[in-house]
Amino acid sequence: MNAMQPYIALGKREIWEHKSLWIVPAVIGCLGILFAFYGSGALLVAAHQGMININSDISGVDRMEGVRAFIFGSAAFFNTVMLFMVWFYLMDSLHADRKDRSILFWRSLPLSDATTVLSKLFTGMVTAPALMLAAVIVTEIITGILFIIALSLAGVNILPLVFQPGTIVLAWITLAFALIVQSLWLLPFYGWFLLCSAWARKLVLAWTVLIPLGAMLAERLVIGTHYLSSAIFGHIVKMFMMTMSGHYSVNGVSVGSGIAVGVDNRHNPFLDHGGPMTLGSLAHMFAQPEMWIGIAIGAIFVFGAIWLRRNRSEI
Amino acid sequence: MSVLIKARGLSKRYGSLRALDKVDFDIEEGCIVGLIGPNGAGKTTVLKAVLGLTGFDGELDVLGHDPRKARERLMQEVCFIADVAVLPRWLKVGNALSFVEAVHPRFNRERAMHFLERTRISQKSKVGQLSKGMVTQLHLALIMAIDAKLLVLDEPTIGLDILYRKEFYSNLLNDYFDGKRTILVTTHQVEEVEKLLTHLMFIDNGRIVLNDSMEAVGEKYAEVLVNPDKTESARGLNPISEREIFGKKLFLFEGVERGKLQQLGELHTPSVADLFVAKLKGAVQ
Repeated sequence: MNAMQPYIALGKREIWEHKSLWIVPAVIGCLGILFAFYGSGALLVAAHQGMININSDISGVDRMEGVRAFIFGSAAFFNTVMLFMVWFYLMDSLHADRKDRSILFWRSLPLSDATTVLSKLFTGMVTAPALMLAAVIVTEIITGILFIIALSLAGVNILPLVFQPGTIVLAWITLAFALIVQSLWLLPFYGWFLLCSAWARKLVLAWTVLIPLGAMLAERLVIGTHYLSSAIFGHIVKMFMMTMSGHYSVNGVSVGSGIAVGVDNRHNPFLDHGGPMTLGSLAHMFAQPEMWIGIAIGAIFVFGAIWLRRNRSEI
Repeated sequence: MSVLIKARGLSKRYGSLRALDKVDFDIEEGCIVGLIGPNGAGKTTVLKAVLGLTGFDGELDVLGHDPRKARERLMQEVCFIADVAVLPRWLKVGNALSFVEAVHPRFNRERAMHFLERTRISQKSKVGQLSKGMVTQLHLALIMAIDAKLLVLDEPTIGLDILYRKEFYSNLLNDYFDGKRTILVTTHQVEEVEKLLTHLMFIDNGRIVLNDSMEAVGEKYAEVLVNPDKTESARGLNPISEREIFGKKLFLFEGVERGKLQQLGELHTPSVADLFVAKLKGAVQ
């Protein structure tokens, strides 16, 4: 037997159970392509009316920025939806089988509880972003081709401006790296969701939200400080600022864009160069102590989830 | 024969409730053991402890492992069917086969397919689309295709109609049990497993009140239908239960010499159900 076989099966198992992991990105991709059809129609009309005038003097740097803005920007909506999807997936992952008692079947197989819990974490951190990235790339290729065709039908050829394979592939690689960094940065959250999923008898969602909120409130009322809330919310905000934002200036038009939300990056303290995210700026996040503190806290939560799965799985 | 499961002082508490109270037993290889007891007697707790699904106090050795520490290793040689419908509803039959094949080194897919061919279960169906009886057939097909040493069944036929129940046990006996494998089964439907069992274990209030081979049970316990005139002499031999049937008295004796009993009337081996009622009434008194 192939040594990897059980792990591959565990990964597939999660996708069998949670079809939304691939259906949601596929649906968003289809919607994107639908809008692109509509948009390319509009472009065609506009070009016919002579409203589109391509300035062939655009500098090489601006062309690259434009391509990157398109690639990162269209990933933004995918990513926002995916983050919510992973949240709900992780909350369900160690709870659903306790609720329908199928845990008795899963635990009658020769798989350790640690392997099982880690397969859920892997699905949230790697499989879900990978499926999303695949949907993003396919959508971007199709929408890009649609726009190019629409404009060429109107007699405007933008292919030489946008066809920069090196820039495009590098942007996708950067996106993939950003998703890995994002998963690691969010590990404390993911670990917390798993812990609640393994622990709660019901209303997992309420526990994941109410316990941190209660702790924040208690801190404020009893001690009068708000370290916990700044730590938690700060962690989320920094993620958007560090990995997901980029300020692009295309032909003098400012485009705030990122793979999460549009954030104006001009005053972003984490990006000294003020440009869009790059492999370098992402790698810089590993120099942040907060990254490692978060990973350590996340690891503690994950160990807790494994312990609960092994010793307190009865509902 | 080697001892497969060895329990010494096995105990489990749920708060102030003692689910198991210092239980000792051995289960040998090649036996079919019926673990019989009323609701809440501790049957399921024994099974869960054996399977490493719950913590416990005392000593328990299953195939040379401590189930608390080595569940994963143990499950390569132990199979388990909890009551029906623990297979998740979203799982497709074909995927169930693929999954077990990938994670279980002793699973034989052809064998499972062979069992499934006898049923009306399609590989494309989802568990949620199957009837209760078919889910049990599927689970049994998966389990019988695993070359395991110990099979644990916890109320495997509860809620099934009589056809599926009969079929379940006949499949188990004809296609699975080979004299070397060991089966540990709990059930309320005692009549159905009665002829299957080689050993009988009664559990009540967290204690074992009977633990014998079926042969020993047949020798030790006897039922006598006594005419009214001999009722008093029958009572003198300390029966463990007394019932009235068609104007005669039916007594159940434990460990009384056969010769003495034959003078009272015709001897029978008691059914497991009657024995169960008698032993448990005794325990209550």
